[in-house]
Amino acid sequence: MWGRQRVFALVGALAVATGATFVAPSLAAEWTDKVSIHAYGGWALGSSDPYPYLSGSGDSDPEVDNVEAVLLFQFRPTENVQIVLAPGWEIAQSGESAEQSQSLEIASVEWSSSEKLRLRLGRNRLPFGIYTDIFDVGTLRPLYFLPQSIYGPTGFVNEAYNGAGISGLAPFAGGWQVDYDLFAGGTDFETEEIFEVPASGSDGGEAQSAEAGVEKLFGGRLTLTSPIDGLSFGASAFSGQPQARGNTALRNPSWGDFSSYGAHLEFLRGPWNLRTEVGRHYEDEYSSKAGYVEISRRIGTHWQGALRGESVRVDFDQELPPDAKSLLDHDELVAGISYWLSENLVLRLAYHRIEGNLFAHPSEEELADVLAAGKLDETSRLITFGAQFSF
Amino acid sequence: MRIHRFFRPFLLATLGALALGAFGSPGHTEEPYQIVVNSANPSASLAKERLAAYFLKKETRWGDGTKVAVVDRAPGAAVRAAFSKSVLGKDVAAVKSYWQRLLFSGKETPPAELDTDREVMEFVAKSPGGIGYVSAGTDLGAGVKALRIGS
Repeated sequence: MWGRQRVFALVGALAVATGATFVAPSLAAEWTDKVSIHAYGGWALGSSDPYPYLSGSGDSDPEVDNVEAVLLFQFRPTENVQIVLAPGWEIAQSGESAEQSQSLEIASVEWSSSEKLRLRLGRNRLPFGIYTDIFDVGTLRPLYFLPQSIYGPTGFVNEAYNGAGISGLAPFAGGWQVDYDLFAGGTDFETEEIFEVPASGSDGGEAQSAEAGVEKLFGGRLTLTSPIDGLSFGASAFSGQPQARGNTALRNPSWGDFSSYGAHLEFLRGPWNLRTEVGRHYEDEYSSKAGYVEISRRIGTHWQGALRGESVRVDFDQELPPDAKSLLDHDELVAGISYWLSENLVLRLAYHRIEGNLFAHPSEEELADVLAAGKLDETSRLITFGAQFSF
Repeated sequence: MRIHRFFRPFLLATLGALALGAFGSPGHTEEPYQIVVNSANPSASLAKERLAAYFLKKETRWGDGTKVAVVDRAPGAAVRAAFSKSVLGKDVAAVKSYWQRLLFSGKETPPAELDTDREVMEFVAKSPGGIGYVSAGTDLGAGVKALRIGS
């Protein structure tokens, strides 16, 4: 239903996006060499059927409660020190309802001796794969939503970690370049474990879709940029100790019980962009393997077409009833088209077709009844329209 | 012989191309831009690879340890398009994406973007480690000098 609150949200989001286009140059002014202010965000309308997924609530009615904005403040008090603060605000569809939240995306102090060594302390972007550095920056990708196989609630990534990290780059002979990141700390990973509902016989609840706190987190990423223009590839990994959870078998977790490994490849040449990632994730009771391929092409100055295919397979320790096995799978095809009003503002339309119920499923409270009635639909569809900006 | 007559033009063209390759040099190619640095900078020339590393902030110090201060022209300028393609090997949109990626991950800020050649020269004249580019043929003001692109 198009309630009053949603109309306000829509008008507000459009105002932010439109305003950003026209006032961006002045707002982004580098006041001095020491301070800069930037922002990014977006708004999406979504309609999904029959189950909630991303910006769709599953009842076919268009949902407009998907708005996000992040401000990025960078201070450089001396040549070698940089302080970054990035507060964010979000209204996001969560199943059949919308939730509002505030977050601190980045809060870090960086010291660098040269481009070869940078030390960061605080809350930093978690380096894994291609998109984690620019998680919500919609103007740096071809589709509104990131591939959920790696960047969704699978445990592969989180937007940030709290702790210490080093990074740098080094050029090598023949046009090669190495970029590295190493980090240590902790964070909360969002995980979707809907398959535990039929396994445990429970009627659902927060335990199946929760944040998994991980401590003693160590990881890194290595990316090689090749002499071939636009081609880079690399690998990422991290491992940590999940915090004990009272309602699961994981009462005495040890280091390594929460781990992810991945490989990525990017080929960005002229109007063509190709990105692909594969990964494996391990938790105490299950593991998953995931991957996606995303290809896009700019057509002229304004248009861009994009296609993406992705897949997740969960290997769960417990046996599920035959009718519930689709809760372990997610396959998705996305076709989208973008219209770039400028390099700072883009309008997007996309169609998603989902097979499997790992992410697109009835609410946890309804799932048991749906399974008992044998009415779990393995195919869902989502249509999204939105705008994303950065400056 | 007939075959010699047939191949003669190709032979002459090949020898001509080889001669041009041997005696010509990239430095003699007329580029639509010229590199400018602070007049106190002791460098007289810079390899294109080093130039790209400076403009992408992959290297941030001159040989004498002075901090490099890069300045860019605004995205719409023809000289920026020519410079980006020739030195950085990318079109302007790709360079913008490169900077956005570093900026929004909190790693690095892009160089200042100035609207005119005059503003670029003023910036470089004020910064001991300053480096920028202006349209070829522009009269260089006080405090800046042209830098030759070496191999």
